[in-house]
Amino acid sequence: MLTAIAAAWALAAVPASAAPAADAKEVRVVIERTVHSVLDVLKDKGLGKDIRKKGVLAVIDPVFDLPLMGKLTLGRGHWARLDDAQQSEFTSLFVATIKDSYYEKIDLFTDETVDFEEPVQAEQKGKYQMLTRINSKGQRYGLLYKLYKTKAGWKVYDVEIEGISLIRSYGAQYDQFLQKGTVPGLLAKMKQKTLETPGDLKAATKKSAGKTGKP
Amino acid sequence: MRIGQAARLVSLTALAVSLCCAAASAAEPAKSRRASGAPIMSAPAVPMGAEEGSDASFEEFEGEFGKPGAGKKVFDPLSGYNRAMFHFNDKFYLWVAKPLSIGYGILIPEPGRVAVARAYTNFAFPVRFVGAGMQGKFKSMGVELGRFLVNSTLGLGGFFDPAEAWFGMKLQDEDLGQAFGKWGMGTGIPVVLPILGQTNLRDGIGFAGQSFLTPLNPVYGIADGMTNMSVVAGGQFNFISLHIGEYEKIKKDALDPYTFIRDAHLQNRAKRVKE
Repeated sequence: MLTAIAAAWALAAVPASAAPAADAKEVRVVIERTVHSVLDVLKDKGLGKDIRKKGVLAVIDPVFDLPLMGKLTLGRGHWARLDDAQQSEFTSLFVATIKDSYYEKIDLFTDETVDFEEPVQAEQKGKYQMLTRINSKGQRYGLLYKLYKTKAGWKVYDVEIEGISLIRSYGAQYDQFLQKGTVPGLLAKMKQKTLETPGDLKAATKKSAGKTGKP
Repeated sequence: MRIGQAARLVSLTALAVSLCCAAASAAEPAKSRRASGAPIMSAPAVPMGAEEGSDASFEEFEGEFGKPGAGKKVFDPLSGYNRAMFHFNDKFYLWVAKPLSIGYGILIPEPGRVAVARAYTNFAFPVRFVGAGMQGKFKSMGVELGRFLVNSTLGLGGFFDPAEAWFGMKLQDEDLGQAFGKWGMGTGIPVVLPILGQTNLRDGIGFAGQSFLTPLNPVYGIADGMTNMSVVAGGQFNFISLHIGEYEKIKKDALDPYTFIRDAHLQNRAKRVKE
């Protein structure tokens, strides 16, 4: 009897204690795979810039929850001020903004190597953080991925480099703007920023600008 | 080494933005949907997560990011002056520092400049040593002392970093501002210094203190003011030459570059104090 109880206990205890370990392992696999694949594409100098860009985006696509990042960046307070159409437009522009800046910088990545640390469970359940260290030109940068668990696996909802969070940094600027400015003003400014960039992005943004009408 | 920090921050933020932007990915499917005539906006590029219960997902993250639009404002009473100085520094960088750094970069190949950057880092050892000491981090002090001895000798004056490569002694990122922060001092108001760039009251005071932690400070009678300044400026040109284009990209991306840099600086310093 006692052994049966002990056995049941042991069995019960295993999944409970194993779950976080399994989570940590999943997170680690996701991030390592993503980072390695991205570096492989970036280091393949035989590929044109456009192809490298597409390759990297394809790797990262399933891992980053960009629409959520857009929402978090604006924050609930501001998000609620936007009507449905504006929310959609904001999301689209946020995506374009991030894409533009990425497109501009893809060639900055050349000689980087990356070290991985063990994922750490965040204070909140269902969230993990994993620190990676990028070695570049004799300097080391800490890049922290923050992930949350979804039905489709772990997704990144924020990235911090040396403590600088993408959500906070963009959020501070939007917040600053909305202190005095209006929502249509913000959307117009974001649109204008995306229009400053070259190539196919420009065409895509123009198309969307045409459809949504004037701010 | 305040300029160093400012410049470092700039490069960090550039990296941050660019790396974060990996997220860009999500734009791809959005674009193809657009092309296929689907409604432009409503389709979230990533099929999961964001869609379900928008307010619920906000709640899930609010503990972390607070409620933007309320309560996370930075108290910046000098913002008028700061913005003006930011503008000045911007032009100084674009018109003076950058062209000079590019010229220097043409003369010295990159590996040479990376080595020079290491030597400057080695030379700034007292700042990290004292900063660690002020926080009672004796282990860090030991590591820094070891690094300095190894790199100054085996590392040929710091141009190489055998301390890390051979002995695994990693740089300890400490300075006076971080020590003040560890003691519980708040950052005080943000301040933009001429040429030196973004800082805050606490770290600005730390920086002033650090200027005495180099043997080249004129008060020690080894070097005169001009020599000291030249050495510091040389380090900055070297640094900038390794990071050309990064600041420009941040500026281009940012809706409001001043706010972006100010906020990024605060976040970066907060993290370094915490460590």
